[in-house]
Amino acid sequence: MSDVLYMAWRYLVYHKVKTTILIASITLIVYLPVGLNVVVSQSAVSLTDRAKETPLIIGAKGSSLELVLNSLYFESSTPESMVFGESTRIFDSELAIAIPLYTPFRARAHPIVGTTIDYFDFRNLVIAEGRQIALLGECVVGAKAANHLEVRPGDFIVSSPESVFDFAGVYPLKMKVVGILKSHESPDDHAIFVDIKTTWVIKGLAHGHEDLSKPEAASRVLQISGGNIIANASVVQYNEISPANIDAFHFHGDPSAFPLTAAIVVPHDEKSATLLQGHYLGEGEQVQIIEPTQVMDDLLATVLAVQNYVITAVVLVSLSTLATMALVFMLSWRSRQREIETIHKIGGAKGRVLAIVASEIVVVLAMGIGFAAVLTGLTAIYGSEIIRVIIS
Amino acid sequence: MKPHTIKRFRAVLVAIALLLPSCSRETSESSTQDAGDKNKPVICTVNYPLAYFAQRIGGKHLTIEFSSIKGDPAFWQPKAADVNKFQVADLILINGASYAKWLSIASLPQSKIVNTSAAFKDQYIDQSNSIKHAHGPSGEHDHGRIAFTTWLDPALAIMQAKAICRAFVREFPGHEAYFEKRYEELKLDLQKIDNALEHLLSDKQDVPLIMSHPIYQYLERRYGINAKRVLGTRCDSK
Repeated sequence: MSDVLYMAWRYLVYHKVKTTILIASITLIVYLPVGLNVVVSQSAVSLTDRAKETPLIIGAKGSSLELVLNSLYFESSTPESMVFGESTRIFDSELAIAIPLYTPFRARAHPIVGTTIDYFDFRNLVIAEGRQIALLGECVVGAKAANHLEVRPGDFIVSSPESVFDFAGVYPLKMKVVGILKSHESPDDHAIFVDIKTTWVIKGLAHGHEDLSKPEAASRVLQISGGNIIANASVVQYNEISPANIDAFHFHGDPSAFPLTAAIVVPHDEKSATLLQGHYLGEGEQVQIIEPTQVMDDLLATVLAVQNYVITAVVLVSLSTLATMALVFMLSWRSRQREIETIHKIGGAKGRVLAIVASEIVVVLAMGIGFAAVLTGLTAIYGSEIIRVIIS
Repeated sequence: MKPHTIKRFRAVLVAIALLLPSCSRETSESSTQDAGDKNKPVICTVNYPLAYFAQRIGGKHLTIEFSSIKGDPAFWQPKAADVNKFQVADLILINGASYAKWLSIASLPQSKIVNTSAAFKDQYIDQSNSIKHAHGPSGEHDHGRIAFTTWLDPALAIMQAKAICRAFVREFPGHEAYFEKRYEELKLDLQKIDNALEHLLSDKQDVPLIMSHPIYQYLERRYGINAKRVLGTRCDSK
């Protein structure tokens, strides 16, 4: 038997190009539908898992898919904002708690997620190094973001300006890293978490500057009229919140009117969830309440429909490729007539010749399937990363 | 001044002292008597009146924590470690009405915060006489605040105590009757103080009463006191 396998192997090695093309064809024929299925299954699990962990989301009316993707993955374009008062409205209903999210800002490629520390309990996020956010201007960084930005507790991260051409726009804020999250293999690993109020500072709704009523600020004061002080543009605004200036930071306006991208809503029970959803059915309602699982199911239904079309196409291509391969083997059989006659003449039986050719086919199939299995395994391991790249 | 008038004003001072212990650090010690019990839910408060109300209502079932606040609670500047103590509490009782400026710079779990004055926001006293300033395109603004010593009005103090009782009943089921019974006792005590003050001050609207700080707005409004203020807004101001 070993002599049959040896002859088959030597033939395949001698015809390297033909063998490589055949193995590559088999690999692709097997891998494409199986790999696609793995990616789709993983994306389905990944998308639905995070969605299942998030009972309800409220946000400004508009694209529910954009709202869900931004709230769960911080990746899609930022949806229209709603006011912070909507989060308070949830608490006031006593049917649920609300976890506000404000995500329009980035530090290099990483989203800055403004929220409250309820988010960490809700997502079971654990601090691996350092401590929890405690004060304005502090941040906790996801494991992968920390590696990418090469930061540790005590370092600083600067928020990216919204537009490099907007000279009068939002100033970057230098934020102190106080903690690094343990890796959770989720979008949280790539995010930078700050208190919701810190994102309002970045937005320019809160700021810190020198006390204009003090004598040392006299040179910056244009006019004092009654109780009003009008300063010139030279007033120094702080771009970093430190223990020395934190008291100078103050908010302008009513915080209940400040912006939020969304709020994760965690109802006390199923009945509360139903009642709460009823609160947002009014015609004049500016806010939508959505179940992320429903939105994700709709998205997956579309993905699965596309997958079915793709698999059908792949199967048709595979069939034609297999037919071509059969033709290749048949033509190969005919072109090898002299070789087969030689084997007969030196005493090789007909069955032995058939065994050699069959062994060649089995080896090619086995190697093709083997490579396809390796590729499928790699897809299974790195599938979530691929999905994240696709989503972003 | 007649002896009975002096007695009555002394009684007023005693009643006010009962209602206004938040500026004094010394008065907060009793609030942490159960701090050693690790199994009880921990309630953090931002001032002594709330700690007192919480202690009266929560009794043996809860540990009331107020000892971490040093100095005047209204103007306390917490460090990160101080904020962390609040973060790990089971419930955080805040006064609302802009009391405790540090809340605007601290990261606290919203789900654990109970604003005890939320039910009477429309009764806040607006102090719109603070200095305004302007810089940049956003126009003029001020850093003024609402009068925050709400508990000096016993009627409002009762509403704050009620909010605390409701929060305890909601968050710590199983002791509803205990909390509600103790709330009723506290309410009765506060009503007694209210009646006493009403009785003592009802005919004194024209008599000027000198106040050390401009923080008695709710007391003034409740009893129509003719208050004259002599010092700045901070307890430690000179």
